[in-house]
Amino acid sequence: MDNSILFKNVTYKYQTNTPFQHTALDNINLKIKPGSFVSIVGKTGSGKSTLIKHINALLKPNSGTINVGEFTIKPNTNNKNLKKLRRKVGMVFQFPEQQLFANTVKEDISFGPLNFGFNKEKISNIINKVSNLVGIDDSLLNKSPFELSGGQQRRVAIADVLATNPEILILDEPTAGLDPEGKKFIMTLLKQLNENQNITIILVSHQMDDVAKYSDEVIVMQDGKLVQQCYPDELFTNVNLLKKYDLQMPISVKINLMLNEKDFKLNDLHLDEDELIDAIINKLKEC
Amino acid sequence: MADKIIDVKNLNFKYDDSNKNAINDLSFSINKGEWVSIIGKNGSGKTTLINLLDGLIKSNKGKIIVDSLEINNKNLDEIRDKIGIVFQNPLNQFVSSTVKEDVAFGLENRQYETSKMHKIVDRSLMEVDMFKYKDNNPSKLSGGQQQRVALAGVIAILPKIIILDESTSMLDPKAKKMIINLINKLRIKNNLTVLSITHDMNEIQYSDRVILLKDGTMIKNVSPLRLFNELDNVENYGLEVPFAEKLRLKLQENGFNISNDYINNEEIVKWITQYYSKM
Repeated sequence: MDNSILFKNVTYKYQTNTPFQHTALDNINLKIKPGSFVSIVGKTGSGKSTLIKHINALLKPNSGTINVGEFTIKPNTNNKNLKKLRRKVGMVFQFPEQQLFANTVKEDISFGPLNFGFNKEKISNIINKVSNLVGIDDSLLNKSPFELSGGQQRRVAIADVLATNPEILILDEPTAGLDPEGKKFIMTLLKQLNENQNITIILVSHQMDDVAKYSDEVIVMQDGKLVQQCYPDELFTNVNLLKKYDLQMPISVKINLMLNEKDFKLNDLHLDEDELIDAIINKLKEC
Repeated sequence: MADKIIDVKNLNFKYDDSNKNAINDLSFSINKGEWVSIIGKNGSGKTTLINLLDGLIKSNKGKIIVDSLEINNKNLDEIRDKIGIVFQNPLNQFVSSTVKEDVAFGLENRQYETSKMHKIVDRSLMEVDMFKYKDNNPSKLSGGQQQRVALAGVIAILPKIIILDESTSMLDPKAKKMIINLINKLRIKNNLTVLSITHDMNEIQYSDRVILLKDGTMIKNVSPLRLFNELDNVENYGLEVPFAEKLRLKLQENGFNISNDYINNEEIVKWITQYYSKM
């Protein structure tokens, strides 16, 4: 099925008709291809979170249209027809572990599938499958989610969303506050879901090193406007763009720039840290 | 000899449903005015240790002395007056709809008289440079501003020890630096002791000492300058080695003559370009 996401002239204002009115999305036009890994970046308040909430109609536009596969979301779209859309589009919010609520990990993961009317056997299969995917050991399934470590809780929260078998997965800062190992686990999981199951991944992140390393495409938001949609290389090799949009430079780009300024010039730009280290050492060995 | 403000002796703690110790025969001390970082993977015992220090959980064995008081069931309030904690996610700590009420919360709990409370709130907000936001809604502030408000709430109760529980992990690099500098300023001014749980290997460079935990056991208690040189396999400990350190260690591995001490981005770039221009 074609799960393209298409925004046409989407505008969204908070607190309309009050003195606090604020345009959070300003005439957004956007296409996200099915099966892609897209990162959305931009400063706090640039409209990233508002944008993603339109993809599963948690927010509806003031004007414009959003298409997600066979669904169309317009200003007057009725909430009644959204259940199927929300099954298609899984949303992992910031600190999703704060939404864990059940007595056991198992019950927490079952909640979504139960709501969608799956039978017992199917649900038990789902629990096995998703707990495996997120690396939650069977021995933890009957424990209270609140007894788990922060990193494990985060994974259970992601399992909750995967349990409804979404075709599009949206994540808002999914690695915030995790340790390096936990971060790497989540990012690798997303890459696997994307590559092996062809799930579209939409990632909101401030971690430019991750964005550079994992995504196929980057969307830059600024003051409610979509100001750039390009390949990660195009963005991260262009220092002027990074400065213009006030984006943090990946460390590899930063070091390369510092070296360049002092006339130590490498032939290629390496976004990967280890490659950059090798390139520097090789150049030093030559001399 | 320097004054010990925290003294932990042979501390052991096991969660009821676990078969191994979360804290395993841990002993260390921290001097008044020191900044000590506690690092290690999730599950290494960092948070358990903080909960023990603040008396939220009770050890199975060993003792903890905070500012000459050995923690027991009767002196928890007194202990908690000495320790202020700044958590990871500021939004979880806000309880009021204005900044000033929020900062007042801890004082209200301690039944301060109203006029005195207002004075302390104002002073604390000035210390963190957030006075002009005192009537704002804390949830509408930026992450860095929120952490400054949280910090004001903590210093309002005049603690001797500030514990940072991954307090900067949600912040962008600019806000991170600002918060760390601010805490350092307050530390020096008020002779505070700072105990910081962090995964940020750049941030540990601000500390006097680093304690590395693994499975509840202390692996290292060293200067941050020497941490990466003294560890054979950093991946074992869930540490993210900063780029410049990675490069320095790789240069050493390849026979280049570069110092054993921690190095930052500017320093390593300088080293590389100097080496290159001498050739």
